[in-house]
Amino acid sequence: MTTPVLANRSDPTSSAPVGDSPPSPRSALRGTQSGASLMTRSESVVWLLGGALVICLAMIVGLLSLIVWQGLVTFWPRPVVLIRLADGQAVMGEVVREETAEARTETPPHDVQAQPARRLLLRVGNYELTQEHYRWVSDAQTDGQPAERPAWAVVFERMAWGRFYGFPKAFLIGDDTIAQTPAAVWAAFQKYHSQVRRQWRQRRRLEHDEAGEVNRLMEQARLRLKKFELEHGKDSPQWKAAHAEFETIQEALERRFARIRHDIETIDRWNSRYQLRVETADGRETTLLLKDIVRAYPANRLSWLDRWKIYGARWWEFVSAEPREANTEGGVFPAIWGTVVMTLLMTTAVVPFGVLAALYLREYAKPGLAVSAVRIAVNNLAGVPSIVFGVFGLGFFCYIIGASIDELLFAEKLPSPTFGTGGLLWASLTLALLTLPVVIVATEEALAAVPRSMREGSLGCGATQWQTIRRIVLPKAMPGILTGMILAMARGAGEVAPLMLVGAVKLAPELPVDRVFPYVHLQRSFMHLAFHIYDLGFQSPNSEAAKPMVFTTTLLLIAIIAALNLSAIAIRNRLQRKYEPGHF
Amino acid sequence: METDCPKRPPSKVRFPERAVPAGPRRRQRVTPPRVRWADRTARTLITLGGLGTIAAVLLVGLFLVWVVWPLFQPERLAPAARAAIPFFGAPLQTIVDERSTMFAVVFGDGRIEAYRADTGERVATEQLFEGGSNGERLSAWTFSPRHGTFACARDDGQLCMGRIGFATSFVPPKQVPRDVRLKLDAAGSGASGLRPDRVRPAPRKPPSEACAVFRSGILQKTPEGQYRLQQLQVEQQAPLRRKGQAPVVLLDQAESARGRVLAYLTADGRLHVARTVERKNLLTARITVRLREGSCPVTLPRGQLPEYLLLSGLGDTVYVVWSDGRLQRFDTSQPQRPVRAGTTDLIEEPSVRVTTVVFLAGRTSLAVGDSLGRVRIWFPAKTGQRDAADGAVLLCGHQLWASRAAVRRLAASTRSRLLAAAYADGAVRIFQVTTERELASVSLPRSERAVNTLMLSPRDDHLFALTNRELFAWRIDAPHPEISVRALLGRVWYEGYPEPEHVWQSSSGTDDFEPKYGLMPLIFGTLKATFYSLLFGAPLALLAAVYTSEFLTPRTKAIVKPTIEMMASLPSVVLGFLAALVLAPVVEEVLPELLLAFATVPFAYLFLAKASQIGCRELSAGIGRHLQRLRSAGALKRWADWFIPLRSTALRERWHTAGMILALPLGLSLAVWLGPRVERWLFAGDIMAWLDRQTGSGLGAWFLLLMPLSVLMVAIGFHLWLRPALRPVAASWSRQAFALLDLAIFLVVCAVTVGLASCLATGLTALGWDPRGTVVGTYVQRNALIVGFVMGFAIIPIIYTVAEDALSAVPASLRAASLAAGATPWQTAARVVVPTAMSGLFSSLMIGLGRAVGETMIVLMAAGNTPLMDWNIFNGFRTLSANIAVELPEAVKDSTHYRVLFLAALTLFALTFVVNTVAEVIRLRFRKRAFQL
Repeated sequence: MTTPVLANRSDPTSSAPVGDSPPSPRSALRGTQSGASLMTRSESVVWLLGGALVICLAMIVGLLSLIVWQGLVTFWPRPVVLIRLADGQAVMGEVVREETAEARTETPPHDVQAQPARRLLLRVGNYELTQEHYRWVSDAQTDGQPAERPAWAVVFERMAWGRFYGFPKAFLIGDDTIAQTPAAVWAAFQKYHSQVRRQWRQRRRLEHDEAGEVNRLMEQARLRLKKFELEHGKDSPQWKAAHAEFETIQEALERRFARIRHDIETIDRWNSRYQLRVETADGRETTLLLKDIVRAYPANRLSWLDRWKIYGARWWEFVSAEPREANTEGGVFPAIWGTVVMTLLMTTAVVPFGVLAALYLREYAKPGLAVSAVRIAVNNLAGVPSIVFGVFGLGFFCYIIGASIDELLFAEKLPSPTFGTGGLLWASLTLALLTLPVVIVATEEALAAVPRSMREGSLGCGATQWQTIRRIVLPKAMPGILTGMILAMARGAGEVAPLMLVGAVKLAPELPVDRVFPYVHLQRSFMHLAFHIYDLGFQSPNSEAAKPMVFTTTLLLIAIIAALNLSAIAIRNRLQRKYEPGHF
Repeated sequence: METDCPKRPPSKVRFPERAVPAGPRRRQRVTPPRVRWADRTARTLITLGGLGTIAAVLLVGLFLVWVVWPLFQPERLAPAARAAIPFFGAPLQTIVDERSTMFAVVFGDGRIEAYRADTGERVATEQLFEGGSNGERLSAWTFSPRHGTFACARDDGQLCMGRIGFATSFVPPKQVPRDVRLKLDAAGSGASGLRPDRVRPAPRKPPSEACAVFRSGILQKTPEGQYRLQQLQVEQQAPLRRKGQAPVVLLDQAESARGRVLAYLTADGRLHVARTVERKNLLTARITVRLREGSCPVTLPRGQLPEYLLLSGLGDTVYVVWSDGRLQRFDTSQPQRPVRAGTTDLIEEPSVRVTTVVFLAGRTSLAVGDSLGRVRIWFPAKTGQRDAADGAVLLCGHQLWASRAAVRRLAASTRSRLLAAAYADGAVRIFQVTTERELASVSLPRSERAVNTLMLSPRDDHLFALTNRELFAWRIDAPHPEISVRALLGRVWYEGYPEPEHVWQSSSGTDDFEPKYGLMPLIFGTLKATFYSLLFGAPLALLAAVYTSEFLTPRTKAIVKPTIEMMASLPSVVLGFLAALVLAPVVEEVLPELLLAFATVPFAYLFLAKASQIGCRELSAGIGRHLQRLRSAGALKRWADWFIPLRSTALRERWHTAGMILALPLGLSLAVWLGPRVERWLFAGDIMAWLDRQTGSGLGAWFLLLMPLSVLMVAIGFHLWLRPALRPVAASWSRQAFALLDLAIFLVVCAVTVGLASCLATGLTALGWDPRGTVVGTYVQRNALIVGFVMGFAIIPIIYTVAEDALSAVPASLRAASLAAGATPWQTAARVVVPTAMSGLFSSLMIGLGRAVGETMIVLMAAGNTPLMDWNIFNGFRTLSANIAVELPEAVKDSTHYRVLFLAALTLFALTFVVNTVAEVIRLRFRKRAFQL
């Protein structure tokens, strides 16, 4: 801390240019300095400097706390309020936002009154009845009564159409009504819901895995036939033999498919018997099928424990389930999985080559102008916009390398491209190229930090250069290399611009790595967390509904990147300690 | 690495890796072959791998250049065929087929013949008016290549419509005669009917195939091995009934949205416009076509009939042209009632004649060739002046003047802005109209100069010229004719625009659309984004860096610096999303408050700084003493030590920190408090309407613009005159009294600044000037202010880190010397540290600039993406990077659009590479100097 100690000493007027004018008697009397010391210290400018730092930090803190707060509260079950309007209507839903000032923007479609003093944005759901998910309610519209919290208002999260807010009226199995009062209906719901959902999961497994497998086998058979046609020509004897085989396979598969279809229909019939009659706040009655309900809870009767349970369940769904409703509901598991697989592939591609390049530059190349020029160039590539790498990836990997691979190996699938379009492999390679400078620079720095004496000692003992590098230099540089690797992963995980060109998609039907041979599908396009954010926030038709999801996804992504960064720091510290005794 | 070199023995020693090369005791032990082999392999692998990796990284730039390169290749006309033709004179029409294998010729007596395009051999013959041909001739003829339809008038006054085309069919190999098949197979699917260019084969085009005459058509073998037959196909409808019997002299047709429109001029000087109405008889399924027509007289100068009649593509304008350059325009948007819309003189000189007039693709622009060798392009544009009936004026947008010889024939492409011209001296040239570029030219031999017909093939890949006796064919080697440096960077006059402009518009819904690849709006957008974000981010980052390195305790610095650095790895998509969905709506609500905050926050800092000078020192000393007493009495707990330090100086430091943190909310709440008042005063109570020029005067805008200037002027004035004058006062006054004076002066200076700005603004407003619409203007929700904010925030970490490193690299000895000589910390920072680190600071700015130039996601999400050239801070824009992200996924591989987007990427690459290299070189030089100090 230089400031206070030294500053005190420099306070006297020596630096002021008017040394010859005697200090005024008053200041001499009180033993303090004259005003000139104020001028030399320029306190106000220093405050401005500090202010700049405070503003920077305030923005960072503000931004992070906004994301963390918004991301964390999204899944918290909120109470359901019922507001009766002056015109006799009633709206029920969760309060999303409250505004007090007169609003210039976002003129809501239902805001009939001008200049509302206070208005609420309600998530009212029931899309199939009202054609809206959200609704503004201003104070002027209400009849003056405070908002109620009806005890049996139940929130239903559904597979389609978004949420439903209503009162349970009856529970039906087939044509039998087994419960009539809300409490009884709720009890019946809890009793049967898990059972129905289990059946539903079974059905989904049938549809997704078994039917999917049939489709895949059918496609394989078709492609084999196409291959014969390309190789031997149509109507050739080989083709005819292949065609006969194809027809037998097709027949078998169709039989199998019919069986699966039958199973699915059975389950559907069984599931559709369980029904719930519900009434909206307006008194309209409708029927919900139990199998379509993901989750339901009486929002105003929840204990704290229940709330935490729902909160936890929603988070679990978020990280483990597939998206629903154009990505605005459900989970982001495919995106997490895509991000992880892509990042790992990228890392396996970038680290060996980055380390090789750095080893060459630092250990083998003769230092000189050329090497420093290459070093500057590599350094600068870290500053080249990521979109440029995306352009390169699309033009070179997808359109040139990918198209050649297609022609050589996947001719029977043409004209639909296999590798000739964006996919996991090309995305990983593009990002590997993008992060290569990071790894090279970090590794070089780590290699440069290994003391020369250690190298010379090793060589002096008779080790070859490779032995020196392998046994002495690389272990010593390992923390730095790992740091570079993790920083590259952090950068790669958050890049979107190149991915938009080389393979990230809004919704991928299949995972890039799954249980189907050959397990890793390099040609598949994939979902990615950062792209998910862009897509939800920017291209979603219902951006109000997407906003909470964007915040949670952002929180997840930032958490992953922060974890990567922090682990880089931790690994560096640990390894540094581990290799510390080796230093001499 | 040099470590292994000097100790090596001379090269004659066989095993250079021997452990101890020279010594009194020569050991016979040699390196085991395994180790030697491993070492060699490692060396080779690492060298290869390292060089390969570096090459791969550098390949990025090279690949971009390789893709962009064909854009700037010179265009060529390569001779493809020359053959004798069996007819003489100028036919009415020639039509080339899609694959340039054959062409059809229409003669004045209604004969239509098809010829091979490479040998001139006749393939087929058809006859119009079958059965009823009694030596009648065609008096007028028109054909639209786009739809393959024709309309003609016989000299007995009848109108006819029909269709001429080429039918493609595939012939089973068994039906192809053996000799033909052998011939086609021998030629291979790579050989062309037209002579292939030996010098440079056509790049990336399917090779046209060798062909043979078969079944009155042309047979070709495709690369897939099929036999493709092209045959002439002529359909003719029954003659149309029309009003009047005067013979038709000129005729043209167009396909409008509501059916086909015919325009014809009769010998009595009347212009008729007719819409065809098709009726289908429900019983017989026969289609009858009727005309619904209207007419209007054409003013005939000296009783002379015009030479050309042209009907625009939508059928809404008719142009009638005389050979002396007179043009009359008729508005025929209601075909039943044509209206005369204006007259234009196409040629000023009295002796010069119009030699040919054709429409360009889209049938909007007229290409007029004259006897001086000029080709002028005229098109209607709305200029705002209302001197014509439909508000449009015919403008001469381009002039192509490559020769003094008269223009003989023009041929316009049906799909692009290519125009071929044949001249009286036997020269044939092709032009790109929009860029006014002559792409290539060839000369016909002396004996065959008079070109009767010039045709461009439908795919723009071949050019044909027919002279009296011969046929000439050239292959056009011009994949990207519309691109030149001028077209990319200069103002270009596009069809329908009143003047040349910078435009980027790469796609549109209509077919006749001409893509406009002006990169200027995108470059402008990139610079705008970079400028505003640097304006916001750079000062904050640099000032914060100076404060961090010079005024923070190491302990605080160890927390603050990594925090800001961590922000560098925040994904930009997060910032973009926050900008677009969170910040943009908020800023729209609090715009006046936000603008005010730029003034009130610095004001709050300065004010608190001045105020704290008054009593802080004495107060903290007093409190310090008091606390000391409390502490020694044991009244304070241990944990309080951090909050209430022992020394009064440290206490003052804490106070300052607290003040700095407090000043921000203070300034912001000042802005919030003042906001509505200022909005009422300057912006007529509603800043959005005011920005849109609906209310209020230019006063507020001037005030906004002049405020920074006024601050600058006052600050300079203060430092030049007031500060020197204050020095003697400061020396003689006590510290506290001077601090009071300082505060008073500061407030006065602030008042003077505001007063100066408002005086100037009032004056300029009184003069009647209003700057709205320039730097400030209509508010758009996603705009440069938002991007400036968020991208400024995004580049703060990188600028901050590099700048702070540079400042910290200044040797401590310099600081110590300065402080020891009696300079205050501020003086040391401002006069010693910052000047020494200046080049490092500069390089940090450059690196930040490089980052801002290429940032994609933030601008993509928050900038609105409209390619405008508008300095208005409240308007959107589109940058190079966002443009690539938006358009590249849809661009067809190897198309002009694709390559131009690659050019945009190359521009970004080159720009950032240069900026970063400069920054890096400066940084290295600075580092070297800092170590020397």
